Amino acid sequence: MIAFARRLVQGLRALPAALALLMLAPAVADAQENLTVAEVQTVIAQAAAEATARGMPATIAVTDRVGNVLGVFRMTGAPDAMRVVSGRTVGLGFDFARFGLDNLIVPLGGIPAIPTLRLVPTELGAIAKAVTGAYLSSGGNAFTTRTANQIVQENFNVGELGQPSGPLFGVQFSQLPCSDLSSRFIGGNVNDFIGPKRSPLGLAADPGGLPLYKNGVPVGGIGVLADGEYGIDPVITDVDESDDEMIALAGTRGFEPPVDIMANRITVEGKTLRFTDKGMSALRTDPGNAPAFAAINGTVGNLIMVRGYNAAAAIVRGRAFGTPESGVRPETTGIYAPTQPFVLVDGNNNNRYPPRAGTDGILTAAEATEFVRQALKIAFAGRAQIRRPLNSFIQVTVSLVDTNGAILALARTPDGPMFGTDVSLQKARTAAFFSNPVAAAALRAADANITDLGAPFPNYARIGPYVDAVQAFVGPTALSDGIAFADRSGGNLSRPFYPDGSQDNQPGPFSKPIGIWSPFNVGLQLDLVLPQVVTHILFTLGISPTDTPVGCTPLNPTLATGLSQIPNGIQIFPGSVPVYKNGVLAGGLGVSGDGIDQDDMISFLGAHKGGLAANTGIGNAPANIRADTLTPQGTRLRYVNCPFKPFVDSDEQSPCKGK
Amino acid sequence: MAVLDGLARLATGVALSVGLSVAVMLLPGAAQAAERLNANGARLADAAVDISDSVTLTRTISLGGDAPGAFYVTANLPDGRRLQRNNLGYWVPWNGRRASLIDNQFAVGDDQVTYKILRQNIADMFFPITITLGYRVDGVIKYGVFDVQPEQ
Repeated sequence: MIAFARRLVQGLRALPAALALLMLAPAVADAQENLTVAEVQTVIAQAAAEATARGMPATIAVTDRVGNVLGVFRMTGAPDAMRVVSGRTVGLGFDFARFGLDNLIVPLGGIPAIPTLRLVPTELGAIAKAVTGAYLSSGGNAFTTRTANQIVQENFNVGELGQPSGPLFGVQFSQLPCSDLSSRFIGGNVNDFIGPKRSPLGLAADPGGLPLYKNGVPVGGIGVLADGEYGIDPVITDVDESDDEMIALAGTRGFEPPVDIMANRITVEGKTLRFTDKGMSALRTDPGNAPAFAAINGTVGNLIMVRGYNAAAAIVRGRAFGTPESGVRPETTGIYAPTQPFVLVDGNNNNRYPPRAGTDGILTAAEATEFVRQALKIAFAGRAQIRRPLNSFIQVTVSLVDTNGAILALARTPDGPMFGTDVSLQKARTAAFFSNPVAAAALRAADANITDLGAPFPNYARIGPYVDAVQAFVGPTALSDGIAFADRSGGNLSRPFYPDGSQDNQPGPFSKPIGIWSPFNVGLQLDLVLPQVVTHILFTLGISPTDTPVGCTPLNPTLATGLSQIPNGIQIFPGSVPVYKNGVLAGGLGVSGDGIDQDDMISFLGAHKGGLAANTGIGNAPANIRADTLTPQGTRLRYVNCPFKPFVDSDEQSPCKGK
Repeated sequence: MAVLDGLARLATGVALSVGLSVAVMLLPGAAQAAERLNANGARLADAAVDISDSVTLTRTISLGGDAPGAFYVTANLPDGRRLQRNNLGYWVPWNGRRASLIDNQFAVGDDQVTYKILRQNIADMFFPITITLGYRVDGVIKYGVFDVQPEQ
């Protein structure tokens, strides 16, 4: 009887394993759904009715899941400009270079006439919010910009002094308009609707950006800007009634996520996430009775064109995620067998990033394949942190780069949130770059490439002082001695307190001091990309005749790629490791889309198991050169942090230990 | 006025005067006649092209007294491809390594070299395209980079 019971228990334990094996071949993550033109019109009309009822004319943007802008509607009387403001004391004057994006201003009008100064166009804020709602969500989790607000500030939860920073600290500076990965809308081009698309301001943490679903399938996002401010919520112990959020919520009627996957059903570190502060019952209208779009278009407001995001003041249909026209579809050649991930494709349905050999001559295409294959296998076997139902496997994107930052391979589990695509690449490149002995010199050399706009604009922040700071903080050879930095290690140095959460301590050397820190003014991460973001804003306004170049940072380009080693910016939350071949730095492996410990584990074990499978000397950094051998200011840096008992098909408890 | 000066530097487009069959603008900033390459990778003025017709794109680079032994043109595309131009004018895959660069054998005159880059319809390409121009001199490759973007 006991033996029978044991066999029964073993059988039950094996069930998830069998399911996981099935999931190695998930032919379709979700049914393929998309927003039609009529549905986009409905979303906008519902939101506009709520805005009217509130006396808050709004700018409303709708995107599909891969970030294509499907329509932007500006109501009569809606502010056409917004303040980027954290609500903290750092937003002084117009000093955007000293104070990041806080109170960012850009001129209005064309050259040579510049009649006035104004703030950032509201349509960019609305698009950024819509993209955020779409990109943070998946078939297993529905997150909003309010969720983002909760996880990007200096304490998690916000306001809990002494707690470490939010788990996605820094994610707001991803999907940047200068990213080499995120595609651009050109107009009349075969790649016009290929995703993932960029976001004009990165991801938003200002309430008012929500995901849209059809039949439980994520199909996009809605973003609303009515109050003239693009900010954050610094107090989450109360229950706000944000106009932006309520207007967006009205727009989602009929397109709501399943209740069970909403953020308020998901916990991280024992803390429940937020979806919205108030629900549908707080709406002042019944969205189902909203006037039809045809009745409001041209009267209540008008569709607008946004340069670089759509071709005309019109509505277009969304692209069904998982189909080639969305730019993301199943991999069909079996290169990562036994896993069957999704890949990114161009407008001709070609895989954009099949495994390639390194431009530096170190990794082979076969080795690149093995790294990504093993990382995907870990994901399919692992237990997700942010997904419902519980015991779902992990959904992420995996990126591998070489020492030049060239993409050697990129693949994703079918339902990984879209934000993880650009972020996994940022993470991979950040680990490879900060582990490279050229990093200090490359960062210092960047200052020669920064061009200020001229008075009355203040100068952009320089990069060299960050190198001075890290070498004073960590040691005089920092970033030039080949120490292996996982993204968790560099992230330790990027928080406004060191160690993270120690409220009275000094900042890390890559962070602004807390007195002038905000999610819009973080330090090195933003200062590397701010000039290109401003150039892009000027482009959308028609002031700059061309868009920001590809490559977000002022670092010199490499000959191999024509881009710097970090051309979509750096990322400062965990989920990547540098990879090596016979002790020589070979690149970085980045993972993003689930909890940060899960991302860490997949990158670290992916590198480890990739090495075992290839048996060519590839793998993780030798333990004696990892950043956790360093103790700056008496506190040891971290390398990776793997979750306890992380697999759905195994009782293994500490899989990273000793590796 | 200072605002105007600053933005004028940012936004002024300079019409490219040589070798174009369709409208191409160089943007932004740098004095076009004096564009030089260097061993760290110079940032050259971007080019805005009208992709509704065949594009012919060339770029004249000042050599500053250098006597190059070989000339290179490569491209990095958002669709993941990495290409180089060969001396017959064809674009072929490139693995990103210096040793496999192909000499385009451009002619030098008056301390300048004119790189032939594109002469084709590129309407269906994935934009922006990042172009790298380079030459080998004294065992070093000097190079510079610019983007090709459609006019919008």
